[in-house]
Amino acid sequence: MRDTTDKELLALYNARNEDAVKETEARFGSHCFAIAYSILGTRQDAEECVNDALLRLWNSIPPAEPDDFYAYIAALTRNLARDRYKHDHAGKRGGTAADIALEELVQMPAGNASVEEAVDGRRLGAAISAFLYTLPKRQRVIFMQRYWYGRAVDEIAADLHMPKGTITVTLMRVRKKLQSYLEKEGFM
Amino acid sequence: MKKEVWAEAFDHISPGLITESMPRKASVSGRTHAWKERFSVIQMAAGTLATAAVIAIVAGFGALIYSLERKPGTADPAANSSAITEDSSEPTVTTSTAAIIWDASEKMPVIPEEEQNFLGGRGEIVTVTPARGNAVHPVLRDDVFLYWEQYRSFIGEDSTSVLTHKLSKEYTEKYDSLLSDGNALYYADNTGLSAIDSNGSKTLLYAIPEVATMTFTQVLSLGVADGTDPWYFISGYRGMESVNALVPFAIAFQPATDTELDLTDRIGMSGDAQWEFQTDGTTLIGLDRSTNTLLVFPRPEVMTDPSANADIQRLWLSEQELPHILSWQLADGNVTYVYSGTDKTLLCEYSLSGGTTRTRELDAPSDDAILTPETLFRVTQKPSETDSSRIDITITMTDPDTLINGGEESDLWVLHEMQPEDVRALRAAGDDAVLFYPASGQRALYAPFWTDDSN
Repeated sequence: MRDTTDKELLALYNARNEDAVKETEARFGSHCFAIAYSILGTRQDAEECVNDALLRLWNSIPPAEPDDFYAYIAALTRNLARDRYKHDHAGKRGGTAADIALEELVQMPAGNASVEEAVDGRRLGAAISAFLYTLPKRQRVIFMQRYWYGRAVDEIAADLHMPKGTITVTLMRVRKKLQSYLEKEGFM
Repeated sequence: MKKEVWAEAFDHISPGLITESMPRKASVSGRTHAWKERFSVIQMAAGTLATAAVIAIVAGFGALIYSLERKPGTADPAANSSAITEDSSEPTVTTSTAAIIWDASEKMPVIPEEEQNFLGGRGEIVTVTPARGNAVHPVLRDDVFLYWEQYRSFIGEDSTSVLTHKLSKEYTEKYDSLLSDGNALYYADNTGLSAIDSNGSKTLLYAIPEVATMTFTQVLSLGVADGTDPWYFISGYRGMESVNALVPFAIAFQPATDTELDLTDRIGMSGDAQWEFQTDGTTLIGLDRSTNTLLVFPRPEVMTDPSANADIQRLWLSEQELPHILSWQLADGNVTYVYSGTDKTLLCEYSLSGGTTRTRELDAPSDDAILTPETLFRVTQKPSETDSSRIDITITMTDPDTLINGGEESDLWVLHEMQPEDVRALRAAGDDAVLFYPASGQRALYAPFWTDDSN
């Protein structure tokens, strides 16, 4: 069966057609689940998070008209998962795949504490995006899969048909380049 | 920066990056589909309750539905994190070989259908090891074994000669450190460099010294010289895998004389170095892709004599403003390079003896390129005229010397209506054949060609 396009999906939402949710789930559900699972670490929580995301999507379109449906619901799922994780783990040390991945970034040498306090997430996100677009596509994808999707190195290796060691070394190089870039841009 | 800062920054990442890096396969199994029930509840309640109240009620109800649906004894996904979801809606990797169409243009070398060989059938093609002469050595793997196969000449009376070695699973993670010289398959791991000959006998050629704190060794480059007493070169990283503590190393060794040389300092390897080595038995040449630096040890004595540093030649290719090297090749005393930028492709020839450099800018950017001493293969792609969501892939072949003197490229293949993600790899098999294998990794197309049309 042919997948619906983003445009067709948007039309279904605008028409308040229930098939919109069904199609969204069919196209993106498993990917959203993987994103939520990497952050939350349990299937039940991830499942509920995806359901919340579908509900949120249904309530936000219209009036929202996302240009990129996948990016929209993927970001929505990630935000919901993070909120749930923060709520459930206040004061605890985490150990999910996404947590472990972010620890690698935290281990970058610390910069000026006062600068760090003033870092604005939106600006930093834009800077990271700009930096990633300077890299070859393969490096971008590896970085995003590790730190945005929170995937394990062996999962990335399998997905990209690359050896685990190559993924590890690539991540190390990109982290170092990112550190230099952020220092130059005044974030660290 | 704190984890929270990073996490918040990733909330504002470009949507284009999210979509571009979408995993081909989500990797958590056993999803249920409770949304249907929850959606029905939403619909029933939507007309009577404020949205916020609906969310609160449904969230609680949804959790109840989920708890009822969850089957007792369901496997913990954390224990099987690499399993592929059973969700039938899962995007799948397209098997592209069905889309490969041979375009028998009269202007192309004629390749009889029976000469188009499909490798595979044993599982996924993981790589094709470099091979000298008229041979191609694909490495394939399935769930249990790694297969190393030698395909010698497919051409004419001296047709197919295939050797297959079934290697144990322990090799399956080492395929990025494989090299074949036609006589043996060399592989490197964190213990050292080993060779497997055509009888399947394994020999440890070099053992990497054990260092207690070194938990990770990744050999990224191998070079094996010709001759009766060959030199071997390995380079890569060692260190702690999970933190930024990987350090580069480069070692040359000659088993026949029990000589081992640590070239790390003499090469001047930095943490970002991405060295590749080639050798013709006399000259050792290395390319650091991170700095576009070419390093030449013109003869083995320069390696063994620390006082001969002045004889080590360094060429700073960055001065040529050439951004990305797709392929490079040591050939007959000269080195020929292909560089690909975002909007142009350059073919350059450098004389290692300090002679002139010749450069030719090619018409279309390359997506992939392979150089052998005699042939440049290039892959270019453009949107298909019949289906704009697909691409046509053209593979060309030309003698680099001819090309750099202004000659034209010849189309070798045109592969119609491929999926953009199908382009995975192009490998030259000797100087007279090319092998293309698609992203699906299931099968590869191998075709010999002849410059003599009478064939």
